[in-house]
Amino acid sequence: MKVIISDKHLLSAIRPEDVALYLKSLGWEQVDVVGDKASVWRPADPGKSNSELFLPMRSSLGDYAARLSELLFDLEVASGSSQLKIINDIQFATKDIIRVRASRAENGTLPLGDAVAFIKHSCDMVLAAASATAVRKSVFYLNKPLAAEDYLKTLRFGQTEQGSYIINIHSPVETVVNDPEKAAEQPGDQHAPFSRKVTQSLALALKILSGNGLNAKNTSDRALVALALDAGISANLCEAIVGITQSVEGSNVDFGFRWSARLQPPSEVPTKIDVQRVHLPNIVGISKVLRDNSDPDFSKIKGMVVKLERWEPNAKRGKITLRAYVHGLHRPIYMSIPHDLYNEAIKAHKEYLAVQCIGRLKQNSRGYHLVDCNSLEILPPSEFDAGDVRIEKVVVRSEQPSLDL
Amino acid sequence: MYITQQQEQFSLAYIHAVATVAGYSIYEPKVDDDSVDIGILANSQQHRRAPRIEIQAKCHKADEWKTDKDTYSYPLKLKNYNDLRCDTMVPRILVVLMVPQDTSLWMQLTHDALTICRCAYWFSLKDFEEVPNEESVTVRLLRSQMFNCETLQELMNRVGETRSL
Repeated sequence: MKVIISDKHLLSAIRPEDVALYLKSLGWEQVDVVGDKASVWRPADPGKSNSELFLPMRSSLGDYAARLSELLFDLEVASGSSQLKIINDIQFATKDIIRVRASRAENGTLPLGDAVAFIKHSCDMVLAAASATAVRKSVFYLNKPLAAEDYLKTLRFGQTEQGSYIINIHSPVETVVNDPEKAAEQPGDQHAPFSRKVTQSLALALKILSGNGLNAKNTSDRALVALALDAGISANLCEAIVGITQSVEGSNVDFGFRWSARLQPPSEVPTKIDVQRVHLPNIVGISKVLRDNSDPDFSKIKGMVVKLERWEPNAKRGKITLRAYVHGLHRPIYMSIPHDLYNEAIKAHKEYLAVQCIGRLKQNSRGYHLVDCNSLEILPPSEFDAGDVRIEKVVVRSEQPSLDL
Repeated sequence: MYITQQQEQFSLAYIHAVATVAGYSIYEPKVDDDSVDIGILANSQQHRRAPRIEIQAKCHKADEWKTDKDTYSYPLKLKNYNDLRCDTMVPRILVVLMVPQDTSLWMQLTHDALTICRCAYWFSLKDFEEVPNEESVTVRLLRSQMFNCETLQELMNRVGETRSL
């Protein structure tokens, strides 16, 4: 189907600098200017075509949309690509595109709950990659690096495509230096902006996790952690990939990368990676090793005291369980607190008041634990909505031995 | 056909006739723009580099333009005024075809001649100032700026040399 783009609003939204970037990526070069209104372009290789394109320089020109429509028509004739494809490619010229595809989605659809999980875990995956780009850690707990949080805010969720179930995440790429010509010629990654480093790191990490580059069974924990950190692989990334794959029953997932024309594409970085279900046990194993060997940061946890456990009234420390919202779910958080804070915990529990504790949040096979907790503070009602937390079990033990954590 | 449609089509027919006799091509804009009705192109073989003018065509039913008056006040919609005065890659002009009140007098056809009553005048609003008006702006058409083959050729030559009017 031949489509002529003539919508004034659509055309007016296209930036001339994005068109220029796109033309350069196709091998066109600017050869002339028409006053301060238009630049003239020809293919750098005259053998390809003797066409000329007139690109309006300013979107503020009164006939900008009309002139851009003419350029699309001329480019369609010169390149053989449809105007629709050209428009799409122009819009992508300034972005890296991360494409996540469930290879077997019935009629290109997913059950609503699965689709939500698919998208959520995809976002978690990108956040994990960004966090690892900012700082190498085996696990990122509640607080992510500021650079990663800021980067996440720049991402856009693109339109889905036909064919299977596909989501596109747009990662804007800004040039590092003022001169786009020089930025495009920078060798290697040292001058790449943060966003490009994230997408590149993610592609390489996915390649390793989908192959035999990192084997949880055959590698010592210490070596595995070192290799994973070096590759920008965290437990968060592993769990996100597992989550994406598990959200689409019976389907493998493949990841695609399309690089912005603003920078040279990274060398030796794959643009398509398949993660199959057979890879999942190894990825889960890697995640477990990373978590078991992690060094957690101090975190503030707010929640309700749902369990108190102290088998001697005068024990130096007593154990409590908080119900708190962590990593996307309400979870029990186990901790021991000093004796002098235990009565505060009892009061909070009796009077249905929320508390805030500070410690190192750690997760193992038995759940979440707040270690090194020496702080417990009762919160005023205005600071916490107790209705968000359901108390499932209340036990106060004063004589029976408690479980080791 | 409504009278407004008749006026619009008649003004376009006039411009088409003048352009054709002057040796130029005509094109319709692909992008819907209320302020551009028709384009005139010098050489369709090299159309992007060739001189071009785009026209907002109007048809105005009025009494005869008195010979002792050099200007004629024409009310132009504010939107058209602003679209015609803005900076563009292809120069834009206003062309107003003045016709008699009686539609039957617009054109006379015999075996010997085709006569169109009366004629059109062109006007450039480039670099005109922004105005505080809310609905329309009065434009003073000049009797000396008749839109005919000779003036069209002059305009196209000027555009070809300077890329503006």
